[in-house]
Amino acid sequence: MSKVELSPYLSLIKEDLVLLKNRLQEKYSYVSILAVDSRGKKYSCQRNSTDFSDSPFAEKGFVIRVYNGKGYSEHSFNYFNKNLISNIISEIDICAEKDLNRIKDEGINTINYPVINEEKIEKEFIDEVKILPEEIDTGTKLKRLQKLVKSGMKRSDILVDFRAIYEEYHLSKIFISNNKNLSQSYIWSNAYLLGIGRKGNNTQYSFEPFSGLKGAELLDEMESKIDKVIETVKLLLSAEPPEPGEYEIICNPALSGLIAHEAFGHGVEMDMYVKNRAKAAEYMNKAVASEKVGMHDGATAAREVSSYLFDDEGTIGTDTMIIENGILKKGMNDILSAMKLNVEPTGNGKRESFERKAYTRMTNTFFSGGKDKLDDMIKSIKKGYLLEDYSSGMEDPKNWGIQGVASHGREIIDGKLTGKIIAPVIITGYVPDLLKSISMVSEEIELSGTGYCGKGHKEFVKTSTGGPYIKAIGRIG
Amino acid sequence: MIDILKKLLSENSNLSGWKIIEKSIESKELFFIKQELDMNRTKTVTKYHLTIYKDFEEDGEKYRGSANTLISPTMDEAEIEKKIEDSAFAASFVKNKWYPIADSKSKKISEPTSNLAKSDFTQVLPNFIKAIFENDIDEKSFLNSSELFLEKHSVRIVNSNSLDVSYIKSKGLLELVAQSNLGSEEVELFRIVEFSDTDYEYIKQEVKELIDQTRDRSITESIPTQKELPIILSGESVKGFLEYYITHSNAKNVYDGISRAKIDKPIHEDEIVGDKISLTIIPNLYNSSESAPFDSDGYTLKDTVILDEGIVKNYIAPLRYGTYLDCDITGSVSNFEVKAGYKPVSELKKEPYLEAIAFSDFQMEPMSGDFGGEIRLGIWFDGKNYKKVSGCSITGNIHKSALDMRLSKETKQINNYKGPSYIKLKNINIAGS
Repeated sequence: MSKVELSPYLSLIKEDLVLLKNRLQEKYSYVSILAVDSRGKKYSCQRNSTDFSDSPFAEKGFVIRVYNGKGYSEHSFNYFNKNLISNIISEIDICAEKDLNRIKDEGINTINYPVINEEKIEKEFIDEVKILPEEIDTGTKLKRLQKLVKSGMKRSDILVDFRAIYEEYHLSKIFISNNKNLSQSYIWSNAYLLGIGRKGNNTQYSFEPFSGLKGAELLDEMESKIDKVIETVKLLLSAEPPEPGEYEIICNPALSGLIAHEAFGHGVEMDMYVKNRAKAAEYMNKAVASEKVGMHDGATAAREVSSYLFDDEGTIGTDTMIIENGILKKGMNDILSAMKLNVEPTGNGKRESFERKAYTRMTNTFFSGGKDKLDDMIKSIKKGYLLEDYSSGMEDPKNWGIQGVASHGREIIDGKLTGKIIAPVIITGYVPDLLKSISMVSEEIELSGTGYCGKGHKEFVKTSTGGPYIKAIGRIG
Repeated sequence: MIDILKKLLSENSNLSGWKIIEKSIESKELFFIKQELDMNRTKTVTKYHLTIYKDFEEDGEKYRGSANTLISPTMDEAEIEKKIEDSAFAASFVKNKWYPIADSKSKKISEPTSNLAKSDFTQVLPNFIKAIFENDIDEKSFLNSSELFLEKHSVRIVNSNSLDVSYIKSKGLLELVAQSNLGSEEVELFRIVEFSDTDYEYIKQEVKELIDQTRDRSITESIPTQKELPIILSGESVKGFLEYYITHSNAKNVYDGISRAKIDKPIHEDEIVGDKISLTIIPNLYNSSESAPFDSDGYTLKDTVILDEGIVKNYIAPLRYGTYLDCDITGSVSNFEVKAGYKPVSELKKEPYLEAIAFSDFQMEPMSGDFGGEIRLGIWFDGKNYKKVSGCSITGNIHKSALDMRLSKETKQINNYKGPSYIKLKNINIAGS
C-alpha cells in the first residue's frame, strides 16, 4: 500500500492562513477557514473519440466563516498570499457588515445562532491506496480504457457505442478555527462501463459502476463486467413497460441504496428539521420500518467515497445508526443545525465545493444486512418483480413520498424468474408503507459511490449508497 | 495571468495549439428561513481553463489530441510549466479526428444587455428581497425557505489563432420552497427560478404562482390507475420534454450514433398527425442565465433554425462536431425557442385529461425517449368535474406520444426555454395514487 500525500501547497500556505485567522479573530468571535486543494483526472473513451481532462470537481480555494454578531457569514475565494490578508479581511467585512446592514435596513431580521463552542482538536488523516494515480501514466490508462471499448464493441452487433470512463480524485483539505487544526488527504476513484444498444427505433443503455477509496487498482475490476453490461442492454431492448400496480418486489443492493438514500436519508437531514420540512421530526423513537430494518449513515460507517476524518465545517465524522430494528433513532446534521436543535453534531456538513454553502448531506448510506438468502426471497414471491439498479431518485422530506426510477425489473411468478423484463420502472408511494412492508433482508451488503447527490436540484456532493437485497411491497408504474 | 500563460505556451514547441478561458465570478448569496435571514455569503474566484492541442498523423490521417486542465491563480510559473508539459504528454494519447479551433475572425454580434450585470449587488439585494416576499402574505400558505444567488461572470477566451473575445454576463438563481397548512397534512412544493436581469415582476409572479399551487396541493385527492387518458404537461416538464429535441439535434450525438437525425429529414421516423416541432436556438434571450455571445470555443453565436415543422434544418454544431459532420457550424447555444401551437389551451382541455402541474422530478431520458415522474400537483378532468390530484405517476415514450402531440398557442419563458406553455400527449400510462 502507498501513502497518499497532503497537498504541498496547503502545507506551505497553512502558516499564512493561521495569520489570517488570527487577524480576523481580533474582530470576530468565531473564525474558521477551510482550505482545499483537490486534483483529479477524468479519462473517457468511446467508439469514436477519447477525452482527457481535469476532473470537473477539481478545486483549489478557501472558504472563511465568521460569527457576525448574530449568526454566520461566509466568503469564498481562490487567490491568496500573505500580502492579501488585508484585502481578504475587507471582503469579509463587506459580507459580514456592509451587506448585512443593508439587508437589516430593509427590516429583515436575522436568525440568532450561538457562537460555535469547540473542543480543542488537532488531528490528521492520510489514507493509503494500492496504486497511486501517478504510478501509471496517462497513456497507459487511456490505452487500457480504449482496449475495454474495443472489446465491448466486438461482442455484440446491437451496440451503437461502448464507453469506458475512469476518474481519479485526490482530495486534500485543512481546517483551522478557534480550537481546531485538522488535515486530511485521501483518494477516491470512480469508473463506468456504459453500453448503448439499438433495435429498430428502440435505443437503450446500461452501465456498471465501480468506486471506492482506491487508486488506479480500480481499473483492474472493469474487464470482468463487460458481458454483464451488454446482457443488460439486450434485456432492456426486449423490455415492456410494467402494468401499474402494487406488487411484491425485491430490490437489489443498488436499488436498496436508492431507497435508503432518497426515500429515507434525505428525510432525516436535520437542516430540514430546523426548517420544519421533515416529517421524520415527528417520528423520533417511533416505528418507521419493519423490525428487520436497520440503516446507517456516516463518514465512518463504511469505507467508501464519502469516508473522511472531518466534514467541511471541521466536525469529526461519525457512524449514525438512523434506524435500528425499525425504530427511527437519529438524524444527521451539520454544525449549525445541531446547535439549533441542541443535539450532538454528526459530521455531515458538506459543501459541493469551497465556493458553496455547507448543508446537512449524506455520506455513506445503507441498510444493514439481515439473515435471508436471495433464492429464498425469489421463491417466496407469487407475483412480483426483482428490481435492479436505478437511474434517478428524488427526495420528499416533508411528506415522505418516494420517487425512484429503477433501471429494470425481472418478473417472478410462483417463485421463479419468468424471463420477462419490465422497464423503465417508476417506484412511488409512501415511505413508511414501503419500509414497514420489508419482510426479508439478505446477508451481504454492497455499496456504490459513482454518483453525485443533489439537494433538490443543486449542491452536488459525493455519496455512496447501498445495502442488501430487500423484499417489500411497492407501487410501480 | 493570461500573459504568463501565453508566454509559457509559446515557449513550448510540443504544442499544435491552445485555448485559455478566463472566468471570474463574483457573487452574493442570501439564505432565508421564512422571512428571516439564516446566512449570507459572498464569493470572488477566478479560474483558467487551459486546453492543449497536439496534432499527429497516422497512416496518412490527421488527428488532434487534447487535454483540458485547470490553472489556479495561485500557481507559479514552474507549476504552470509542469501542467503544460503533463497536458501535452496526455494529449499525445488522445486520438481524435482532426478539427479546427476558432479563428480570430470571431466578432461580437450581440451582447447580453443585463441590468443585473451592470448593478452593484449590495444595492440591488433589497429589491430582490422585496420582490421575493411581496406575495408571501398568507399565514397558511407561505414560503418555508428561499435561497438567492446573484453572480457576475467575466469571461475572456483567447487561443493560439489570435482569438481574443470577452463578455460580462449575470446569472441569478432563486430556490423556493412553499408550504401550505390548509389541508389535513402540511404539504410543500419546490421550484428553482433562473434569471439574468432585474425583472422583479417576474420574481413576484413566480413566487405567487408557487404559493397558489402549494395551496392547491393541500386539498388534493387520489385517482385510480388508468390508460387512454391524455396528459397535459405544463411548467418545467414542458421544457424537460422538449429537451429531447435539443439532444437529438446535437451534432455530437449524431456523430456518436446516439441520434439518427439527418438534415432535411424528419426528426421522427414515424408519421406525425399532431403538431410538428419548429425549434430555433437563440444566443441572446432576455432574462436567460444561459445567454452569451460566444460559446466555450470562442465561436460567435447567432440565431439558427434547427427544426422547421419537424424537419431537421441544422444540427446544433460546435466547431469540432460540425467539422466531423461537414455541416454548418452554429456553435453551442443553450437557449431555445419552440414555435407555439395553433390551439389555445382551452381547446386542448375540452375533453377529459390529467394536467401535470408539478412533478417531484420530471425525467426525460433522451436516448430511449422514456419520460415520466410522480405528480405532486395535477388537475384531473373527467369531462364534467375537476379534481386536484397528487401522488399518481406517469410514464410514456416520446416515439409513441409525439405522433399526436398538441402544443398550446399560449407561450411561456422558463429561463433558457421559450415556447408553448402546455403540451397535450396521448399513449401515457398513469399509475394511480
